[in-house]
Amino acid sequence: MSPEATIEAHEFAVASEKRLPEHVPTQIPRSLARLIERAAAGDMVAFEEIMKHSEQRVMRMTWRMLGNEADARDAAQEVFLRVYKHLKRFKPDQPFFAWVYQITLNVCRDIARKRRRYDTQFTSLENSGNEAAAVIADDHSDAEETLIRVQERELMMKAIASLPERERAAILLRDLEGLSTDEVAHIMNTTATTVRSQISSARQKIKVYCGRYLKR
Amino acid sequence: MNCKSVEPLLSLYVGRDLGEEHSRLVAAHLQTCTQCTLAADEYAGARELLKGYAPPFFSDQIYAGIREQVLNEIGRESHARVWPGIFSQSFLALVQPRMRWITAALLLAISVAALYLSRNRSHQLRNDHQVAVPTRQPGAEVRSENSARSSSFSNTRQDRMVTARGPITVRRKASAGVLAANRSRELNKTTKIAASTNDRVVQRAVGVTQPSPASAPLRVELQTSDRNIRIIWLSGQRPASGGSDGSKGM
Repeated sequence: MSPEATIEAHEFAVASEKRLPEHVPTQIPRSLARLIERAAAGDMVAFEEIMKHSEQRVMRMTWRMLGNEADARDAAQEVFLRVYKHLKRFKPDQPFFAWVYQITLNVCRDIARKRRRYDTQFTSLENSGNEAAAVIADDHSDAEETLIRVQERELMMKAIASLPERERAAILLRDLEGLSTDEVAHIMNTTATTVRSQISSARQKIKVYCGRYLKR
Repeated sequence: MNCKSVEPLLSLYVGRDLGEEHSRLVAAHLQTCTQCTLAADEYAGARELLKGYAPPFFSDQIYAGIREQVLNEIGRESHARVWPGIFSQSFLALVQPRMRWITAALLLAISVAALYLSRNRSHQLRNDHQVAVPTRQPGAEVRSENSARSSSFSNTRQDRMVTARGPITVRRKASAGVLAANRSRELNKTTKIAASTNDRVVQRAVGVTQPSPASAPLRVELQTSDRNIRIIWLSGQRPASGGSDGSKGM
Protein backbone atom coordinates (compact mmCIF):
# COMPACT_ATOMS: atom_id res chain seq x y z
CA MET A 1 0.00 0.00 0.00
CA SER A 2 1.34 3.43 -0.88
CA PRO A 3 2.07 5.90 1.94
CA GLU A 4 -0.58 8.24 0.60
CA ALA A 5 -3.18 5.50 0.73
CA THR A 6 -2.12 4.58 4.25
CA ILE A 7 -2.47 8.16 5.47
CA GLU A 8 -5.87 8.52 3.84
CA ALA A 9 -6.99 5.21 5.26
CA HIS A 10 -5.87 6.29 8.71
CA GLU A 11 -7.66 9.64 8.42
CA PHE A 12 -10.72 7.87 7.23
CA ALA A 13 -10.55 5.32 10.02
CA VAL A 14 -10.27 8.09 12.61
CA ALA A 15 -13.17 9.94 11.04
CA SER A 16 -15.18 6.74 10.91
CA GLU A 17 -14.39 5.88 14.53
CA LYS A 18 -15.76 9.23 15.60
CA ARG A 19 -18.92 8.98 13.66
CA LEU A 20 -19.43 5.33 12.95
CA PRO A 21 -20.65 3.42 15.94
CA GLU A 22 -24.23 3.14 14.79
CA HIS A 23 -24.88 6.31 12.83
CA VAL A 24 -24.40 6.99 9.20
CA PRO A 25 -22.40 10.14 8.58
CA THR A 26 -24.44 12.46 6.45
CA GLN A 27 -21.39 14.22 5.09
CA ILE A 28 -18.51 12.35 3.63
CA PRO A 29 -15.14 12.94 5.29
CA ARG A 30 -12.63 14.45 2.93
CA SER A 31 -10.40 11.40 3.22
CA LEU A 32 -13.27 9.15 2.19
CA ALA A 33 -14.12 11.45 -0.69
CA ARG A 34 -10.53 11.17 -1.89
CA LEU A 35 -10.61 7.39 -1.56
CA ILE A 36 -13.85 7.23 -3.54
CA GLU A 37 -12.41 9.44 -6.22
CA ARG A 38 -9.33 7.29 -6.53
CA ALA A 39 -11.30 4.05 -6.45
CA ALA A 40 -13.60 5.35 -9.17
CA ALA A 41 -10.49 6.01 -11.26
CA GLY A 42 -9.55 2.34 -10.87
CA ASP A 43 -7.27 2.43 -7.82
CA MET A 44 -7.84 -0.96 -6.24
CA VAL A 45 -5.91 -0.10 -3.08
CA ALA A 46 -8.30 2.77 -2.43
CA PHE A 47 -11.26 0.53 -3.10
CA GLU A 48 -9.92 -2.07 -0.69
CA GLU A 49 -9.74 0.63 1.98
CA ILE A 50 -13.34 1.56 1.31
CA MET A 51 -14.30 -2.08 1.65
CA LYS A 52 -12.42 -2.41 4.92
CA HIS A 53 -14.31 0.48 6.43
CA SER A 54 -17.76 -0.51 5.30
CA GLU A 55 -17.61 -4.30 5.40
CA GLN A 56 -18.83 -4.60 8.99
CA ARG A 57 -21.92 -2.54 8.30
CA VAL A 58 -22.61 -4.47 5.13
CA MET A 59 -22.13 -7.89 6.73
CA ARG A 60 -24.25 -6.95 9.71
CA MET A 61 -27.06 -5.72 7.53
CA THR A 62 -26.94 -8.63 5.09
CA TRP A 63 -26.90 -11.14 7.94
CA ARG A 64 -29.87 -9.46 9.60
CA MET A 65 -31.76 -9.32 6.35
CA LEU A 66 -30.97 -12.83 5.16
CA GLY A 67 -30.52 -14.68 8.43
CA ASN A 68 -27.52 -16.88 7.69
CA GLU A 69 -23.84 -16.44 7.21
CA ALA A 70 -23.45 -18.04 3.80
CA ASP A 71 -26.07 -15.82 2.19
CA ALA A 72 -24.73 -12.82 4.08
CA ARG A 73 -21.25 -13.40 2.65
CA ASP A 74 -22.56 -13.82 -0.88
CA ALA A 75 -24.62 -10.69 -0.49
CA ALA A 76 -21.67 -8.72 0.88
CA GLN A 77 -19.55 -9.72 -2.10
CA GLU A 78 -22.27 -8.69 -4.48
CA VAL A 79 -22.72 -5.40 -2.65
CA PHE A 80 -19.05 -4.49 -3.05
CA LEU A 81 -19.05 -5.52 -6.67
CA ARG A 82 -22.01 -3.23 -7.30
CA VAL A 83 -20.42 -0.46 -5.30
CA TYR A 84 -17.32 -0.68 -7.46
CA LYS A 85 -19.33 -0.90 -10.63
CA HIS A 86 -21.42 2.18 -9.85
CA LEU A 87 -18.80 4.18 -8.02
CA LYS A 88 -18.42 6.56 -10.95
CA ARG A 89 -22.10 7.43 -10.66
CA PHE A 90 -21.86 8.21 -6.97
CA LYS A 91 -22.37 11.90 -6.26
CA PRO A 92 -20.02 13.26 -3.60
CA ASP A 93 -22.78 15.40 -2.07
CA GLN A 94 -24.83 12.38 -1.02
CA PRO A 95 -24.07 10.28 2.09
CA PHE A 96 -21.87 7.39 1.07
CA PHE A 97 -23.05 4.84 3.62
CA ALA A 98 -26.69 5.55 2.87
CA TRP A 99 -25.86 4.77 -0.73
CA VAL A 100 -24.13 1.55 0.36
CA TYR A 101 -27.20 0.62 2.41
CA GLN A 102 -29.39 1.18 -0.62
CA ILE A 103 -27.27 -1.23 -2.61
CA THR A 104 -27.26 -3.67 0.29
CA LEU A 105 -31.04 -3.73 0.48
CA ASN A 106 -31.32 -4.23 -3.26
CA VAL A 107 -28.85 -7.09 -3.19
CA CYS A 108 -30.58 -8.76 -0.24
CA ARG A 109 -33.91 -8.48 -1.99
CA ASP A 110 -32.47 -9.98 -5.18
CA ILE A 111 -30.81 -12.84 -3.35
CA ALA A 112 -33.92 -13.57 -1.29
CA ARG A 113 -36.07 -13.61 -4.41
CA LYS A 114 -33.62 -15.76 -6.24
CA ARG A 115 -33.36 -18.35 -3.54
CA ARG A 116 -36.98 -18.25 -2.50
CA ARG A 117 -36.02 -18.97 1.04
CA TYR A 118 -37.08 -15.76 2.62
CA ASP A 119 -39.29 -17.16 5.31
CA THR A 120 -37.63 -20.48 5.85
CA GLN A 121 -34.04 -19.52 5.40
CA PHE A 122 -33.21 -18.78 8.99
CA THR A 123 -31.25 -21.97 9.19
CA SER A 124 -28.79 -20.50 11.64
CA LEU A 125 -31.36 -21.22 14.33
CA GLU A 126 -30.10 -24.77 14.47
CA ASN A 127 -26.54 -23.53 14.41
CA SER A 128 -27.24 -21.12 17.21
CA GLY A 129 -28.65 -24.00 19.25
CA ASN A 130 -25.46 -25.97 18.70
CA GLU A 131 -23.46 -22.87 19.45
CA ALA A 132 -25.34 -22.43 22.72
CA ALA A 133 -24.76 -26.08 23.65
CA ALA A 134 -21.04 -25.61 23.04
CA VAL A 135 -20.96 -22.48 25.17
CA ILE A 136 -22.88 -24.22 27.94
CA ALA A 137 -20.48 -27.14 27.88
CA ASP A 138 -17.53 -24.78 28.14
CA ASP A 139 -18.79 -22.49 30.84
CA HIS A 140 -21.33 -23.88 33.28
CA SER A 141 -21.61 -20.69 35.32
CA ASP A 142 -23.11 -18.71 32.43
CA ALA A 143 -25.01 -21.62 30.97
CA GLU A 144 -28.46 -20.41 31.89
CA GLU A 145 -27.83 -16.88 30.80
CA THR A 146 -26.36 -18.04 27.49
CA LEU A 147 -29.32 -20.28 26.87
CA ILE A 148 -31.71 -17.39 27.49
CA ARG A 149 -29.75 -15.17 25.13
CA VAL A 150 -29.79 -17.81 22.45
CA GLN A 151 -33.52 -18.33 22.85
CA GLU A 152 -34.15 -14.61 22.65
CA ARG A 153 -32.12 -14.37 19.53
CA GLU A 154 -34.00 -17.26 17.98
CA LEU A 155 -37.24 -15.59 18.90
CA MET A 156 -36.20 -12.34 17.35
CA MET A 157 -35.00 -14.05 14.21
CA LYS A 158 -38.37 -15.67 13.79
CA ALA A 159 -40.15 -12.42 14.52
CA ILE A 160 -38.07 -10.54 11.93
CA ALA A 161 -38.46 -13.34 9.43
CA SER A 162 -42.22 -12.99 9.74
CA LEU A 163 -42.11 -9.33 8.67
CA PRO A 164 -42.69 -8.16 5.13
CA GLU A 165 -39.50 -7.17 3.34
CA ARG A 166 -39.91 -3.41 3.51
CA GLU A 167 -40.99 -3.40 7.14
CA ARG A 168 -38.04 -5.56 7.98
CA ALA A 169 -35.65 -3.22 6.22
CA ALA A 170 -37.20 -0.18 7.89
CA ILE A 171 -37.03 -1.55 11.41
CA LEU A 172 -33.51 -2.90 11.00
CA LEU A 173 -32.22 0.40 9.70
CA ARG A 174 -34.07 2.44 12.27
CA ASP A 175 -33.76 0.37 15.45
CA LEU A 176 -30.61 -1.65 14.86
CA GLU A 177 -28.50 0.48 12.57
CA GLY A 178 -29.62 3.61 14.40
CA LEU A 179 -30.50 5.73 11.39
CA SER A 180 -33.01 8.54 11.58
CA THR A 181 -36.42 8.21 9.98
CA ASP A 182 -35.40 10.64 7.25
CA GLU A 183 -32.26 8.68 6.47
CA VAL A 184 -34.25 5.46 6.30
CA ALA A 185 -36.72 7.17 4.00
CA HIS A 186 -33.86 8.31 1.78
CA ILE A 187 -32.36 4.83 1.65
CA MET A 188 -35.69 3.18 0.94
CA ASN A 189 -36.60 5.85 -1.57
CA THR A 190 -39.84 6.72 0.16
CA THR A 191 -41.27 9.34 2.54
CA ALA A 192 -40.66 9.67 6.27
CA THR A 193 -44.38 9.18 6.90
CA THR A 194 -44.35 5.85 5.09
CA VAL A 195 -41.28 4.79 7.03
CA ARG A 196 -42.95 5.69 10.33
CA SER A 197 -45.97 3.67 9.32
CA GLN A 198 -43.79 0.69 8.41
CA ILE A 199 -41.83 0.96 11.63
CA SER A 200 -44.98 1.21 13.70
CA SER A 201 -46.46 -1.84 12.00
CA ALA A 202 -43.25 -3.81 12.45
CA ARG A 203 -42.97 -2.96 16.14
CA GLN A 204 -46.54 -4.00 16.74
CA LYS A 205 -45.96 -7.35 15.05
CA ILE A 206 -42.76 -7.94 16.99
CA LYS A 207 -44.48 -7.05 20.22
CA VAL A 208 -47.29 -9.50 19.47
CA TYR A 209 -44.77 -12.19 18.57
CA CYS A 210 -42.70 -11.64 21.70
CA GLY A 211 -45.83 -11.36 23.83
CA ARG A 212 -46.96 -14.80 22.69
CA TYR A 213 -43.53 -16.21 23.59
CA LEU A 214 -43.28 -14.44 26.93
CA LYS A 215 -46.76 -15.59 27.98
CA ARG A 216 -45.92 -19.24 27.29
CA MET B 1 -55.97 12.26 24.46
CA ASN B 2 -57.84 9.03 25.15
CA CYS B 3 -56.57 5.43 24.93
CA LYS B 4 -57.99 4.93 21.42
CA SER B 5 -55.91 7.75 19.98
CA VAL B 6 -52.80 6.96 22.05
CA GLU B 7 -52.59 3.25 21.27
CA PRO B 8 -51.47 3.60 17.63
CA LEU B 9 -48.83 6.12 18.69
CA LEU B 10 -47.25 3.99 21.39
CA SER B 11 -44.96 2.05 19.08
CA LEU B 12 -43.62 5.31 17.71
CA TYR B 13 -43.44 6.88 21.15
CA VAL B 14 -41.13 4.17 22.53
CA GLY B 15 -38.86 4.57 19.52
CA ARG B 16 -38.89 8.37 19.84
CA ASP B 17 -40.31 8.72 16.37
CA LEU B 18 -43.01 11.19 17.34
CA GLY B 19 -42.84 14.93 17.17
CA GLU B 20 -42.45 16.96 20.36
CA GLU B 21 -46.12 17.86 20.60
CA HIS B 22 -47.37 14.30 20.19
CA SER B 23 -44.71 12.92 22.54
CA ARG B 24 -45.78 15.36 25.25
CA LEU B 25 -49.44 14.38 24.85
CA VAL B 26 -48.71 10.66 24.95
CA ALA B 27 -46.47 11.04 28.00
CA ALA B 28 -49.20 12.93 29.79
CA HIS B 29 -51.70 10.19 28.97
CA LEU B 30 -49.35 7.43 30.17
CA GLN B 31 -49.08 9.06 33.58
CA THR B 32 -52.80 8.57 34.08
CA CYS B 33 -53.52 5.29 32.18
CA THR B 34 -52.19 1.99 33.56
CA GLN B 35 -53.29 -0.09 30.55
CA CYS B 36 -51.48 2.11 28.05
CA THR B 37 -48.43 2.18 30.32
CA LEU B 38 -48.35 -1.63 30.26
CA ALA B 39 -48.65 -1.63 26.49
CA ALA B 40 -45.79 0.91 26.27
CA ASP B 41 -43.65 -1.32 28.51
CA GLU B 42 -44.32 -4.27 26.21
CA TYR B 43 -43.17 -2.22 23.25
CA ALA B 44 -40.06 -1.20 25.15
CA GLY B 45 -39.36 -4.84 26.10
CA ALA B 46 -39.75 -6.00 22.51
CA ARG B 47 -37.44 -3.21 21.41
CA GLU B 48 -34.82 -4.31 23.89
CA LEU B 49 -35.10 -7.86 22.62
CA LEU B 50 -34.71 -6.59 19.11
CA LYS B 51 -31.51 -4.81 20.05
CA GLY B 52 -30.15 -8.16 21.19
CA TYR B 53 -30.57 -9.43 17.65
CA ALA B 54 -26.89 -9.08 16.87
CA PRO B 55 -25.11 -11.01 14.19
CA PRO B 56 -22.48 -13.55 15.20
CA PHE B 57 -18.86 -12.55 15.28
CA PHE B 58 -17.29 -12.61 11.84
CA SER B 59 -13.57 -13.16 11.92
CA ASP B 60 -11.04 -11.11 9.99
CA GLN B 61 -10.48 -14.11 7.78
CA ILE B 62 -14.06 -13.96 6.60
CA TYR B 63 -13.73 -10.29 5.75
CA ALA B 64 -10.37 -10.86 4.07
CA GLY B 65 -11.89 -13.67 2.03
CA ILE B 66 -14.74 -11.44 0.92
CA ARG B 67 -12.33 -8.66 -0.07
CA GLU B 68 -10.13 -11.07 -1.97
CA GLN B 69 -13.01 -12.56 -3.88
CA VAL B 70 -14.37 -9.14 -4.74
CA LEU B 71 -10.99 -7.94 -6.00
CA ASN B 72 -10.51 -11.12 -8.02
CA GLU B 73 -13.94 -10.78 -9.54
CA ILE B 74 -13.28 -7.16 -10.46
CA GLY B 75 -9.98 -8.13 -12.03
CA ARG B 76 -11.64 -10.89 -14.03
CA GLU B 77 -14.45 -8.65 -15.20
CA SER B 78 -12.17 -5.83 -16.22
CA HIS B 79 -10.02 -8.28 -18.17
CA ALA B 80 -13.05 -9.75 -19.89
CA ARG B 81 -14.34 -6.29 -20.72
CA VAL B 82 -11.26 -5.20 -22.70
CA TRP B 83 -12.22 -6.55 -26.14
CA PRO B 84 -15.92 -5.75 -26.02
CA GLY B 85 -14.87 -2.33 -24.80
CA ILE B 86 -12.68 -1.79 -27.84
CA PHE B 87 -15.48 -2.87 -30.19
CA SER B 88 -18.07 -0.75 -28.47
CA GLN B 89 -15.74 2.26 -28.48
CA SER B 90 -15.08 1.80 -32.18
CA PHE B 91 -18.78 1.53 -32.84
CA LEU B 92 -19.52 4.62 -30.77
CA ALA B 93 -16.79 6.51 -32.59
CA LEU B 94 -18.34 5.57 -35.93
CA VAL B 95 -21.83 6.75 -35.02
CA GLN B 96 -20.65 10.10 -33.68
CA PRO B 97 -22.06 13.10 -35.59
CA ARG B 98 -18.67 14.08 -36.99
CA MET B 99 -18.09 10.59 -38.34
CA ARG B 100 -21.52 9.97 -39.81
CA TRP B 101 -20.65 11.03 -43.36
CA ILE B 102 -17.50 8.98 -43.35
CA THR B 103 -19.39 5.99 -41.98
CA ALA B 104 -22.10 6.37 -44.61
CA ALA B 105 -19.52 6.65 -47.41
CA LEU B 106 -17.69 3.64 -46.06
CA LEU B 107 -20.87 1.57 -45.93
CA LEU B 108 -21.78 2.67 -49.48
CA ALA B 109 -18.37 1.69 -50.78
CA ILE B 110 -18.59 -1.69 -49.08
CA SER B 111 -22.07 -2.26 -50.55
CA VAL B 112 -20.93 -1.35 -54.09
CA ALA B 113 -17.90 -3.59 -53.78
CA ALA B 114 -20.04 -6.45 -52.52
CA LEU B 115 -22.50 -5.98 -55.38
CA TYR B 116 -19.74 -5.85 -57.95
CA LEU B 117 -18.09 -8.96 -56.57
CA SER B 118 -21.34 -10.90 -56.41
CA ARG B 119 -22.20 -10.01 -60.01
CA ASN B 120 -18.74 -10.89 -61.19
CA ARG B 121 -18.89 -14.13 -59.33
CA SER B 122 -22.25 -15.13 -60.78
CA HIS B 123 -21.01 -14.30 -64.29
CA GLN B 124 -17.95 -16.41 -63.75
CA LEU B 125 -20.04 -19.24 -62.38
CA ARG B 126 -22.20 -19.13 -65.49
CA ASN B 127 -19.13 -19.34 -67.72
CA ASP B 128 -17.72 -22.14 -65.65
CA HIS B 129 -20.98 -24.01 -65.97
CA GLN B 130 -20.93 -23.67 -69.73
CA VAL B 131 -17.42 -24.99 -69.95
CA ALA B 132 -17.75 -27.51 -67.19
CA VAL B 133 -20.34 -29.58 -69.03
CA PRO B 134 -17.93 -31.12 -71.50
CA THR B 135 -15.39 -31.77 -68.81
CA ARG B 136 -17.73 -34.33 -67.33
CA GLN B 137 -16.45 -36.60 -70.05
CA PRO B 138 -12.80 -35.76 -70.06
CA GLY B 139 -11.27 -36.50 -73.38
CA ALA B 140 -14.63 -36.59 -75.16
CA GLU B 141 -13.90 -33.38 -76.99
CA VAL B 142 -10.20 -33.52 -76.89
CA ARG B 143 -8.99 -36.42 -78.69
CA SER B 144 -5.97 -37.32 -80.68
CA GLU B 145 -6.36 -36.95 -84.38
CA ASN B 146 -5.81 -40.62 -85.00
CA SER B 147 -8.53 -41.78 -82.74
CA ALA B 148 -10.83 -38.97 -83.89
CA ARG B 149 -10.37 -39.83 -87.48
CA SER B 150 -11.76 -43.31 -86.94
CA SER B 151 -14.70 -42.27 -84.83
CA SER B 152 -15.51 -38.62 -85.56
CA PHE B 153 -18.71 -39.41 -87.48
CA SER B 154 -19.73 -42.53 -85.69
CA ASN B 155 -22.93 -42.57 -83.70
CA THR B 156 -21.46 -43.74 -80.41
CA ARG B 157 -22.96 -42.46 -77.21
CA GLN B 158 -19.87 -40.47 -76.43
CA ASP B 159 -20.06 -38.65 -79.75
CA ARG B 160 -23.67 -37.82 -79.25
CA MET B 161 -22.93 -36.29 -75.93
CA VAL B 162 -20.16 -34.24 -77.36
CA THR B 163 -22.17 -32.98 -80.28
CA ALA B 164 -25.40 -32.49 -78.41
CA ARG B 165 -24.09 -30.92 -75.18
CA GLY B 166 -20.75 -29.34 -75.87
CA PRO B 167 -21.68 -26.82 -78.52
CA ILE B 168 -24.83 -25.44 -76.89
CA THR B 169 -23.33 -21.98 -76.66
CA VAL B 170 -21.88 -22.24 -80.08
CA ARG B 171 -25.21 -23.27 -81.49
CA ARG B 172 -26.92 -20.22 -80.04
CA LYS B 173 -24.32 -17.89 -81.35
CA ALA B 174 -24.23 -19.62 -84.66
CA SER B 175 -27.99 -19.41 -85.10
CA ALA B 176 -27.73 -15.62 -84.95
CA GLY B 177 -25.25 -15.83 -87.78
CA VAL B 178 -27.47 -18.09 -89.86
CA LEU B 179 -30.22 -15.54 -89.84
CA ALA B 180 -27.88 -12.83 -91.03
CA ALA B 181 -26.60 -13.83 -94.46
CA ASN B 182 -26.42 -16.38 -97.21
CA ARG B 183 -25.13 -19.86 -96.81
CA SER B 184 -21.48 -19.19 -97.59
CA ARG B 185 -21.31 -16.14 -95.37
CA GLU B 186 -23.21 -18.02 -92.76
CA LEU B 187 -20.75 -20.80 -92.92
CA ASN B 188 -17.78 -18.45 -92.59
CA LYS B 189 -19.31 -16.57 -89.75
CA THR B 190 -20.38 -19.67 -87.92
CA THR B 191 -16.99 -21.10 -88.37
CA LYS B 192 -15.32 -17.98 -87.03
CA ILE B 193 -17.56 -17.85 -84.00
CA ALA B 194 -17.23 -21.51 -83.42
CA ALA B 195 -13.52 -21.30 -83.79
CA SER B 196 -13.21 -18.46 -81.33
CA THR B 197 -15.47 -20.25 -78.87
CA ASN B 198 -13.63 -23.46 -79.37
CA ASP B 199 -10.37 -21.75 -78.62
CA ARG B 200 -11.70 -21.13 -75.21
CA VAL B 201 -13.20 -24.56 -74.90
CA VAL B 202 -10.09 -26.28 -76.02
CA GLN B 203 -7.87 -24.13 -73.87
CA ARG B 204 -9.93 -24.94 -70.86
CA ALA B 205 -10.27 -28.53 -71.84
CA VAL B 206 -6.54 -28.80 -72.26
CA GLY B 207 -6.14 -27.23 -68.89
CA VAL B 208 -8.42 -29.83 -67.41
CA THR B 209 -7.16 -32.95 -69.10
CA GLN B 210 -3.48 -32.02 -69.25
CA PRO B 211 -2.80 -34.03 -72.39
CA SER B 212 0.65 -35.38 -72.77
CA PRO B 213 2.79 -34.18 -75.69
CA ALA B 214 2.18 -37.51 -77.33
CA SER B 215 -1.54 -36.87 -77.62
CA ALA B 216 -1.15 -33.55 -79.59
CA PRO B 217 -2.35 -32.44 -82.14
CA LEU B 218 -5.92 -32.01 -80.96
CA ARG B 219 -9.19 -32.31 -82.78
CA VAL B 220 -12.40 -30.74 -81.63
CA GLU B 221 -15.76 -31.29 -83.26
CA LEU B 222 -18.70 -28.99 -82.78
CA GLN B 223 -22.21 -29.30 -84.14
CA THR B 224 -23.90 -26.10 -85.32
CA SER B 225 -27.64 -25.50 -85.43
CA ASP B 226 -27.66 -26.84 -88.93
CA ARG B 227 -27.39 -30.59 -88.71
CA ASN B 228 -25.46 -30.70 -91.92
CA ILE B 229 -22.73 -28.46 -90.62
CA ARG B 230 -20.20 -29.74 -88.22
CA ILE B 231 -17.17 -27.75 -87.29
CA ILE B 232 -13.98 -29.59 -86.85
CA TRP B 233 -11.08 -27.77 -85.40
CA LEU B 234 -7.62 -29.14 -85.53
CA SER B 235 -4.63 -27.82 -83.72
CA GLY B 236 -0.96 -28.59 -83.71
CA GLN B 237 0.89 -30.46 -86.44
CA ARG B 238 -0.84 -32.81 -88.74
CA PRO B 239 0.53 -35.74 -90.66
CA ALA B 240 1.29 -34.95 -94.28
CA SER B 241 -1.61 -37.06 -95.55
CA GLY B 242 -4.17 -35.03 -93.55
CA GLY B 243 -5.57 -31.56 -94.22
CA SER B 244 -4.20 -28.27 -93.00
CA ASP B 245 -4.35 -26.78 -89.54
CA GLY B 246 -7.29 -24.64 -88.52
CA SER B 247 -11.04 -24.92 -88.85
CA LYS B 248 -12.82 -26.95 -91.31
CA GLY B 249 -16.46 -26.96 -92.40
CA MET B 250 -18.86 -29.79 -93.31
